[in-house]
Amino acid sequence: MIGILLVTHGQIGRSLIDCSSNILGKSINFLECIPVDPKSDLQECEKFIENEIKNLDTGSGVLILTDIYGATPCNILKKYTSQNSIEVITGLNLPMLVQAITNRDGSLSQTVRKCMQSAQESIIKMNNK
Amino acid sequence: MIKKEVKIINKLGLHARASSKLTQLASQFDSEIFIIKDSKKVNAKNIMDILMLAASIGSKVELQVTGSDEKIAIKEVENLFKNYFDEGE
Repeated sequence: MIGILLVTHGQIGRSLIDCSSNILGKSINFLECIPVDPKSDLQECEKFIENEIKNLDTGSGVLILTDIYGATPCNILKKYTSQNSIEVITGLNLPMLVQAITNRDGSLSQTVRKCMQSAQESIIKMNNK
Repeated sequence: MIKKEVKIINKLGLHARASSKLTQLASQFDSEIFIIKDSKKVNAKNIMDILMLAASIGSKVELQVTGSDEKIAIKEVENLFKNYFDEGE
């Protein structure tokens, strides 16, 4: 099973985990979050990330989801983007997370593709005007 | 392949938790299960695909089931719709 790590501004990650649990009606394994805020010690955050990656990788790899491209939570993840067993995606939203949680028994690249598709397709302008 | 039209009768329609129940049930079967609404066909084993139908109360959808356990699968899926997704209303 692919591990999932959310690295987000403040408590966004925790809240998305809670909402996903409610939707799916169960607690979710191998899913963790690390909050980053203006007072965070970035070196400490990096240590937390390293630890969580180790805990979450059961051999199938780890998917790291973050919110804003170019922001600090995203920037501290750049060092992982060259590792084969880790994929990083920005633009985290609830559809992306639900898709990740429910499609993580195959390959990491397959999960990435589905996550990105869901996240993008779920942005819809609802007014017909 | 078996096809059946079902009406959505639960108050909240195919919302997130109802869709989750549907995928969990559908995933128990080997058969391929599709839901079709307004010519949009989605995999009943994928929650985000189902949610993209935005199917509300009163909508009619078609179930399309193909596989070794198609008879029991379509019956159980239909029952979930008929039982208001166990939401009581």
